[in-house]
Amino acid sequence: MILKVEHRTLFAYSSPIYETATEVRLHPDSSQSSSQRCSSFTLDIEHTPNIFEYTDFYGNKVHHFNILQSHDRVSILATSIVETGKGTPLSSDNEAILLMDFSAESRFVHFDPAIREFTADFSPQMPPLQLGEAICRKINDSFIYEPGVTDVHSTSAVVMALGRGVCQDFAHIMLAACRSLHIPARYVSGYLFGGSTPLGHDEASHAWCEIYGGPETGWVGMDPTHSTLFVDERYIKIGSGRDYADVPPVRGTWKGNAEETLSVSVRVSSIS
Amino acid sequence: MKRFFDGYHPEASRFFDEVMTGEGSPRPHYDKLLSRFGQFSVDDIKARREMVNIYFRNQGITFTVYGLEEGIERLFPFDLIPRVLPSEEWALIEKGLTQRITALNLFLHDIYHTQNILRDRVIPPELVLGSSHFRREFVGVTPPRGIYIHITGSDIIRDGEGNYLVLEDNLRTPSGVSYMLQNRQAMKRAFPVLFEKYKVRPVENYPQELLRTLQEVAPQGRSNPNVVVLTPGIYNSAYFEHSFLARQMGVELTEGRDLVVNDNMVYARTTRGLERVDVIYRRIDDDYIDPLMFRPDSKLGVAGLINAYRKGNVTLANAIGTGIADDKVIYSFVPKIIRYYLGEDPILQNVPTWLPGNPSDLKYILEHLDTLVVKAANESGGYGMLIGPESTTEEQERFAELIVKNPRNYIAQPTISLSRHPSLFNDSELYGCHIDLRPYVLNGKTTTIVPGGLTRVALKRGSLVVNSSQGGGSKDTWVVDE
Repeated sequence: MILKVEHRTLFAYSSPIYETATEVRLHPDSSQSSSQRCSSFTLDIEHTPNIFEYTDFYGNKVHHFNILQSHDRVSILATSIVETGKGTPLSSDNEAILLMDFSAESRFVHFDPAIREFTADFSPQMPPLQLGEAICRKINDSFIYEPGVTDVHSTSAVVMALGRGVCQDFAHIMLAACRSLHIPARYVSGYLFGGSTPLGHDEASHAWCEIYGGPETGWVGMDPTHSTLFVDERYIKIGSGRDYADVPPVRGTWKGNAEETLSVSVRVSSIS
Repeated sequence: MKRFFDGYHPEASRFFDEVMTGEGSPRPHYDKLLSRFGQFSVDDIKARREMVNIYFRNQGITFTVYGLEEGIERLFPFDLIPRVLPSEEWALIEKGLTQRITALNLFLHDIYHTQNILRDRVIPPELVLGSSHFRREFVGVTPPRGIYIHITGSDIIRDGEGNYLVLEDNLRTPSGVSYMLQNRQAMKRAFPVLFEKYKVRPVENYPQELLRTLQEVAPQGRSNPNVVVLTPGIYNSAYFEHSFLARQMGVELTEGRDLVVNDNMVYARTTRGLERVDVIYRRIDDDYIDPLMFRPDSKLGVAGLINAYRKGNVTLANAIGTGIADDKVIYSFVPKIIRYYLGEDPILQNVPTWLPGNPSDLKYILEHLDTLVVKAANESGGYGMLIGPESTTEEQERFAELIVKNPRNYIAQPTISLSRHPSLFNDSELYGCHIDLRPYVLNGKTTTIVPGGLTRVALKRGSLVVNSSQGGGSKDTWVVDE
């Protein structure tokens, strides 16, 4: 499937700000081990600052820029064309340090008593992928998709207590459940063609998980937000990390005294 | 005639005394000092004490004590009797520290690149990778000349036999060097005759050596590099030192708000406009140095600094991520680190260390809490510490709980009776106080250690804690050529 993504991010400020420093992680995964191919990527930023690039520890492509002079909005349009693959297997990198990172607690992923209880029925003796699938199904069945009850700072423990949330929250629950049963699991940021929420076609960034099946199988994508569970060719991966904190699509700092309003729109269309 | 040191009781059976031997006679390198002090009356001493105090007050040499009522600034307590180190003992320390810093720098380069030492299981990988001081962001990034540690302030102690041991490698932002320099200035004013009698090796060139080291590690191709000092600001306990060193080096003292990153380069705001910055001697911890990369709530840092650094457009001294080699758990592996990278035996030994992460060590620690010193792996300044012999049963129980809950976070060491050196109380009475030594190591193209360092004194009688935040003071340290 060849898909085109147009991802607009607009920060509007109630009064002028200055010295914006911004990092974006919006480049679709194009690593050797990935089953998708990104054939084109452009980044259009108002005020046309110079854009710099590096690859972070988890292999994600990061672009960054700054705007010194005073401004009252920062508008970022990322456009990419991606040929998606079947979804699995995604990659087989199994560096010890990565497996360790993806097996431990992290900023948003906590092994709280509630998650222990949630996974109490699962046998850690099951093969990792079967176990992952069972966890994924249980989250999809028992959590309620509801925007607005959580925010980007909600930890897995908070979401466990609420029993509801959005894709990012479901992914964090899944990571906590898998890792607490010693299955390496990582957070994936990306897009989904055909609407990313179970409620309808309100398109935005999406998030899901990849589960490590062992050196033979590698990493397999699973999505606890959708009842189809397994990642397929509708999914476009941007990058991965321990949790949301490692792969926020946009993060930045600025100086000044103003209220910030963020609006995001994502359009994923098929071009073949 | 009553000699000045006549009333001094070294208790040499219990402690290694720096001045007196077990037989009660002075060590040869203290002969001249003892005979000079022997000529002083109490009034002579009082006059010299006054000269020193006026000097310190005029220089504004203070430090801030945390954890007390708001903003307590104090004069750093100073003991008039200098510590004298014979040159052959200094040579051993110098060689030992150079070996240690060389190995630790190779260790940092390795764990931020191929991680051979972890693959070879010399150190359990989880101890490095699981530490909050391991900065994964810098894996694969090579600082100029491959140098991570530019400035070190190692803490050295002497055990009961007088052996020099390394207690801590302070590889992040060690402080105290300004006291070393000021102590020397004060002593030169108060004891000019004594300086004529001894050939004391100079320390005054430290700021110039520091500047040279910083210039040597500038990004490639930057001739006449612009160096600045970056301070967290006036509320930091070492602010005096930051401004002092900047002044001595003749470079700008900056706070985060004085610097700005544009197009991946760092600039300082000056009255002449923005000026490119090449090297930053930063006295801000990793966590606070760049709100874009680390703590977003930090108001002290410079947004985008880390990306400029990653690109090689600016040098940070010390590098980001050196804290991992400073972790007290990793400390216990330093002798292995030296053997692994240099194939040499350590010249300076470690203090024996037990790790609660090992079940057998844990059992031993819990059974001996009343005799051991327990330290949090990542605290400094004497905070988060249990000194077994001086602790109550409740304190021991509290630490037992902490250790069991988070074994990775603690280490235990035997309570070492630090060596003692006579200190002057009320300008008349001599009393043996425990001391340590913090030499300052500079590491650029070559490794330079100004002779001596800061001798810290536990001025509370009987106390083993020399940290200034815990009631410690200091004395001048003389490396003397015979």
